[in-house]
Order: sequence, then C-alpha cells, then structure tokens
Amino acid sequence: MAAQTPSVPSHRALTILGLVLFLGGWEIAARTGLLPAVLIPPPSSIVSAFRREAGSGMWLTFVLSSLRHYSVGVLIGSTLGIALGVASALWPLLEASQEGVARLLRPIPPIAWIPFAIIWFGVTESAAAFIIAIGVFWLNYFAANTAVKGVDKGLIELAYAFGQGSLVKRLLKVVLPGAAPGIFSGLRAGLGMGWIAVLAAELFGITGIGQRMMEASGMLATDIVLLYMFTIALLYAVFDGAVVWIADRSLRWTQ
Amino acid sequence: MDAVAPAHSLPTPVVRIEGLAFGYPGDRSQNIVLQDLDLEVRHGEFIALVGQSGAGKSTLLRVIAGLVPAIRGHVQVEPLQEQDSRQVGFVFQDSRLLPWRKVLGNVEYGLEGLVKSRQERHRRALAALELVGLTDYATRWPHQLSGGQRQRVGLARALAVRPSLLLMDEPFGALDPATRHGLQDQLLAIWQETGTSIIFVTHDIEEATYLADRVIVLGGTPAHILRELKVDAPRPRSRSDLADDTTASSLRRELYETFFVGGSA
Repeated sequence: MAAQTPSVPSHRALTILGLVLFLGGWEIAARTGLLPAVLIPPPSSIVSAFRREAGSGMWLTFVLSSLRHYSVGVLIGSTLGIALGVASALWPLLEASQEGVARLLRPIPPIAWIPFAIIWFGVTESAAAFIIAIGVFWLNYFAANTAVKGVDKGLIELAYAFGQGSLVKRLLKVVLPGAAPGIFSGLRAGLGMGWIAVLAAELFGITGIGQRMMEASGMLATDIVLLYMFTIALLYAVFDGAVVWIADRSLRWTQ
Repeated sequence: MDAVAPAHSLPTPVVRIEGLAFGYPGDRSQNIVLQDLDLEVRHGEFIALVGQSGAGKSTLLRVIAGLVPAIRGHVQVEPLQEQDSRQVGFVFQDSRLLPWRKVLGNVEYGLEGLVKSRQERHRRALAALELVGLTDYATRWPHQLSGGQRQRVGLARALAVRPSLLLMDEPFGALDPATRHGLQDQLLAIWQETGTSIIFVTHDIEEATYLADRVIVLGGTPAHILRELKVDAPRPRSRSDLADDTTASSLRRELYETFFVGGSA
C-alpha cells in the first residue's frame, strides 16, 4: 500500500497564518487590557495614525524624501561595493594594499560619519545619501569579495584550458556567474542596512521617515512610531522583492 | 556525420616533448618535480601515462597543455590541418562543467572565440554530443546528470574543439567499475572514429593495457620516464582475453614490478 504523506499546509499559507496570529494576538492582548496601551499601542492604532499622517500629506512627503536618499545611497554603495569587492578579489596586489585601510574603516558605523557628511556636503540630501552609501558599501564589498574568492578554482583552470583565460572572458563567463549568488546575498543585506542608516542619515535635520520617527518618539507618540516602522518594513519588502525577482531569474541554475 | 575528420597518418609525430623539466620555486633552489622528459606521440596514437599517485602525471599533462610553464625544454604540438581547431583538448577528472550553463552551452564553451558563427558552434557542439551519445541531453542542466554523463559531456567539450591531442586526467577514476568500463569502450570507439591522439593518465594498470597502444610509466623523484612498453594486443581487445593473454599479463607484471620496486629505475 502506498505511503500516505500527511497534507502539510503550504509554506506561504503558514507564513500568512503566522502573521495573522501575531497581529491578532497582539490586538487582542491590547484590547483586553493584558497589554497596556501605554507600553505599546495595538496594531489597529497604526490605521488611525496613518489616516492622520496621510491626510495632511505628511506621510507621503516623508516617504518620498527618505526614498530619495535611500535609493541614491543604496545604488552608489552597492555599485562601488560590488565593483571594488570583485576587483580586490581578482588582484591580490590591490587587495593587499588596501586591506589595512579597509580593516580600519569598516567597523565605523554610518552614524559616526555624520560630522564629516555635514562638513563635506552640508545639511543636504547628498549628505544623507553619503551616510547610507557607507553602510551599504561595506556589506556589498565583503560579500562580493568572498563570493569571487569562493569561485571553484578548477573552473578557472578550465577557462585557461579552453582558451577562455583572458580577464574579460574569465570574468564574464566564469567569475561573475559563479559569484552571483553571493553577490545577490550581499545586495539584499545591503538593502536592509540602508534602512538602518536612513535613521542615522536623517538625525541632523534631513526630512524623512527617520526624522519623523525621532520627533514622534520625543512626543511619546508611539502609534506614529509604529506606523513608520511598518512603513519601512513595507518599503523594504518592495525593494527586496524586486531584487529577489531579478535574482531568481538570473540564478535559475541553482534551483 | 562529419563530426571530426580522421587524422592523417603522417610519419612526423603530432607531439614532441624534449628535455622537459618542471618545478616549483623553493626556499633555496627550485623544487624539481619533472625532469629530462623526452616523449613523442604519433598521429592517432593512444598513450597511457601511469604512475603512483603524486608521481607527476597530472602535472606533466598540465605542462603539455600549457596550463603551467616548463622551466626547461619544450613541448611541440602540431595543430591539425583543420580550420578552427585548438591544439589541445583537456578532460578533467571532475568533469568541471559550468553549473550555470546547460549541457549544450558547456560543450560550446571551448568553441567561443574560435568559431565565429553561432550556428556553426551550435552544430559542432551537437555533433560532439552525438559522438558521446548525449544528444537528447543538450538542454539539461549539469546537476541533472549522473557522474558518468557529466564525464561524457566533458569529453564532448574537448572533442568539439577538434584537437590534435586529447589530454585526459584520470577521467574515469571517480566512477564505478560498470560505468567506467562502458566509458572506456565508448572512448575507444570515438578514438577510432576521430583518430585523435590521446594521452590518458591513470593509475589503473588494467585500464592502461586495455586502452593504450603504448604505456609510459612515470616515477621517481624528480619524476622521469621509468619505462615505456608497447601493448601489442590486437584490437578490438576484450578484458577477459587480456586477463589471460600472456603478453598482456607479462606486461602487467612488468608494470606492477616497476611500481612496487619503487621510485628509482
């Protein structure tokens, strides 16, 4: 008799269920007084907070402003990070010469760069983008570097064996495809890091979600803080979803 | 099928190696790994290169392929009087297929930059796949293939470039005996059809005597040619016959003795 596999709910169904239980449980705990609203407001308060913020057009303003320096920062940070990460993995000389500098600069959190950002760019969008780019850069740099180093050396030898050993041919046909999964990982991690840096970037007076959250924090308007937490989560999901879509199509061979 | 034209039986060797030496830079002086190698391979000849693990057979193969530079002597490989061919085709022990390309894309790999027309590359790759009997697998991904099938794709990739010389580095070493025997026979059939010269590295003496016209034993420190033996058994050969055949047996005995007597000739 054939073995019966018990029907397991799909991955997606479980994900949604988990979310519903989390939000539902939270809402119920708040309504029944188990969770005092002064500690943390219920998820339903996000809706009313949104109505107030969106009504005056503020929500959209903050979102667009943050998206501006976020996108620029992520774009520049990712591009430079990947380019330099790949280059230093391919040229030991390059890597050795900047390794000391990299070790020095890497652990410095984006927030620490604020004074220099202001001095170099003024209190402008560029300064905010710069701070975001720094965080994103290091993540992509090390992910790309590791990914390139991890490419099977046997495949490099293969390239030379079949006349595909020139730099461009090796890069396009072996190194980049081989490093792609790791590079995409770094890209996705950078997207998350970008939002962390947004808060730091807006600390000194740049308009945006982070700034609004700090303001609301100061007023203990926890429902507004919650609203923007969720907003960030939503925006991140959109960007991440786009990258995952691209990655899935480029990495069909890993499936 | 005009997959690969048969080789001409010319008196001049297709491969001539003279005074070859190879070593690694060491602390004080170079670490010589291979020394005083003289070897000639004739057109269409099947050479087996045997020796203990680490004897330098794989290294020698790589020096011949130009993957690694010799420190003395030279290797001369005559190109086939053919358009758009490479001198050497290499088959690795671990197949080394690019995981991000389908089977056909892998076979075409060596043709890129060699053959300008994409249709021609396509055609030659398909012809090579047909030689190894895997035409139906052209659109599969490498991870969907068995070990034996991956080795055959690796072989097709090497054949597609129409090399004068096929270099094979223990290509069947990682396979089970049944698959190995099947591939040996398939290789012999392809060899007879294409007439490519082959240098086949193995540590399996049975395999060497079954496949080769000549067996070359490499050993010693630094490695050099210990012995060179002709395998006179007529083709097609059978494994059971070879087991009984007195010439083949005495050949194997000689080879075993060379192996186990040790590194110095």
